[in-house]
Amino acid sequence: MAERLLMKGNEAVAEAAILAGCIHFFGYPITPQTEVAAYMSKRLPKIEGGVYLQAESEIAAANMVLGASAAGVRAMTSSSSPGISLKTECISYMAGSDIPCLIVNVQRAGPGLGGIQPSQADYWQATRGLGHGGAHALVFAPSSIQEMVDMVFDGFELAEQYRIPAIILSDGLLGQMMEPVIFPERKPKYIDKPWALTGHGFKREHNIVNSLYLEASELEEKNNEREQRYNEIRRLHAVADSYLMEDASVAVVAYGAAARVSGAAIDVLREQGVKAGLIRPVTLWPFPTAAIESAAEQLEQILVVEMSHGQMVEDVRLAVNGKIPVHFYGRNGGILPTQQEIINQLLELTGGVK
Amino acid sequence: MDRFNYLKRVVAITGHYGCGKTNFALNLALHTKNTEQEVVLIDLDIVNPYFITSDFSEMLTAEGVSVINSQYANSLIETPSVSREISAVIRSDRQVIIDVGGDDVGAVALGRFWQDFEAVNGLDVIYLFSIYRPQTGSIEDVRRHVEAIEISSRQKVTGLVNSSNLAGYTTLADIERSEEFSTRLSEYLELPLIATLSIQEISRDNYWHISRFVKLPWE
Repeated sequence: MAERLLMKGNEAVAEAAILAGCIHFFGYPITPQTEVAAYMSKRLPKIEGGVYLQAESEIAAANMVLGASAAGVRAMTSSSSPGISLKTECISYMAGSDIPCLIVNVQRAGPGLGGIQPSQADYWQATRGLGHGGAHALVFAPSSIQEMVDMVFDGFELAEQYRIPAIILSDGLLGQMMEPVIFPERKPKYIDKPWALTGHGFKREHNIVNSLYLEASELEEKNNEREQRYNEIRRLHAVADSYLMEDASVAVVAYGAAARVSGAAIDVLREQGVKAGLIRPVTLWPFPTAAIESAAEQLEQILVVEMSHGQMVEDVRLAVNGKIPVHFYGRNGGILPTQQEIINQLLELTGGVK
Repeated sequence: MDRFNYLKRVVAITGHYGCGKTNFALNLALHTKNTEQEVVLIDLDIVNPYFITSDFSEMLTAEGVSVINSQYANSLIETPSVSREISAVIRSDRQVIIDVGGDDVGAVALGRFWQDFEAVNGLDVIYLFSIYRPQTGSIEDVRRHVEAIEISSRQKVTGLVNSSNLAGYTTLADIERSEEFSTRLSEYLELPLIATLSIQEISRDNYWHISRFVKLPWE
């Protein structure tokens, strides 16, 4: 095998998980995610101890991840939007049981069964609505296949460090498109899991993995402790990437595939002398509020571009806190904003080339 | 000299998904059209509706290539169906290029037409490969893959095309690196290597020059 490979996002995320020490995969087919499961079904049986299981439903697959993770191994599931909705009950249970895991959402357009083309309409779900009870998961938003690979390692490691689920928020385009990728020679970093159900062997107390606390004071204490972990994550792990921002007077804020199109639009505008830049949230939860807040000091206005009717734009507005205007442009239903559409939006906002 | 001249009137293009079948099929269709024959390109990709021939229907029609797409539209389910026109086209006197879906799974759809192929004296089945794709990186991997495709398509692969590329990031060195593998593969499978593909900008004379039609939205 050549060291630089041409891979689909869906294949690369699967291979990266294996290299990151995850050999337990539970899934269910759905377009445009199916290659993740298909790749795992071919690779994992060849690995000693590897488990690939196509469950009877998304709900079952998510609960198998809960079980495997509770037993202390790295486990993963993947799906696309409607399938993630089915998994959310269990994601809340995992969050409530402080169980780490990795979930890949290859987003397609919704609501409902929606379509099978790419979308970013699951932003709210990923950052706010992963089941009931006020739970969070780390949410990573790759915009290239190489980045997706690197995030798989970070995802497992941070999930285990903080004992929370992690999500790679991909989309149909990132999952299906192909780019060259180099797999890092990075040894997976394993974190001790003294809480895991590995058998007490009469040498220690029973470990219990559970999200049910009937005593209100006990539950409040548990939730407060978890919130402290959330706060530490908010403080330390919010990441944004910036492009041509040094002298920018207008910035696009976009993530994932929308950031790729926006970056190409900004390149064209720069040639025409428009001082445009790009702020790309790399983590969506925690949201890189500070990076956007400080960028707002130098900017005149912001354009948020999403493949939805506008979801992340709310977090951008909260970060900017009214200091400058925050505009929105989006396409939805499975349609990508084009480079030209973004150029037109920015030209309109800036009053053309100055 | 046209290296594709010897091929039968019906040519199917198979291979691992993501090795560049659709881009090659588009190039071959336009090339065949240049020889002033009536060409029909059939999109038999039932595996996945992303980056498929149907995306290029307008361009192909404008260039005089007829296109038959698998039917995702007109349907409320994610299961595409193959068009009933296909048998008639195979049995016609037109040049037919079939873009088959990836892997043995996609090749099943080709097997559905075995009676039509028998009625017209068979077809040529090209197997496209790339050393830069995982799962087809060794000679043994490719042999197993070709076998699986032959079983599910009920057809024999009759020729190889080396499509080793890294999309927009391909260099001449990348293609040169694949040539030793190609030669060994061709000898091992006892199948002719019909062409090594490269885009014009990084071409060498012995390569078959193709255009990159299948691109990312921001390219």
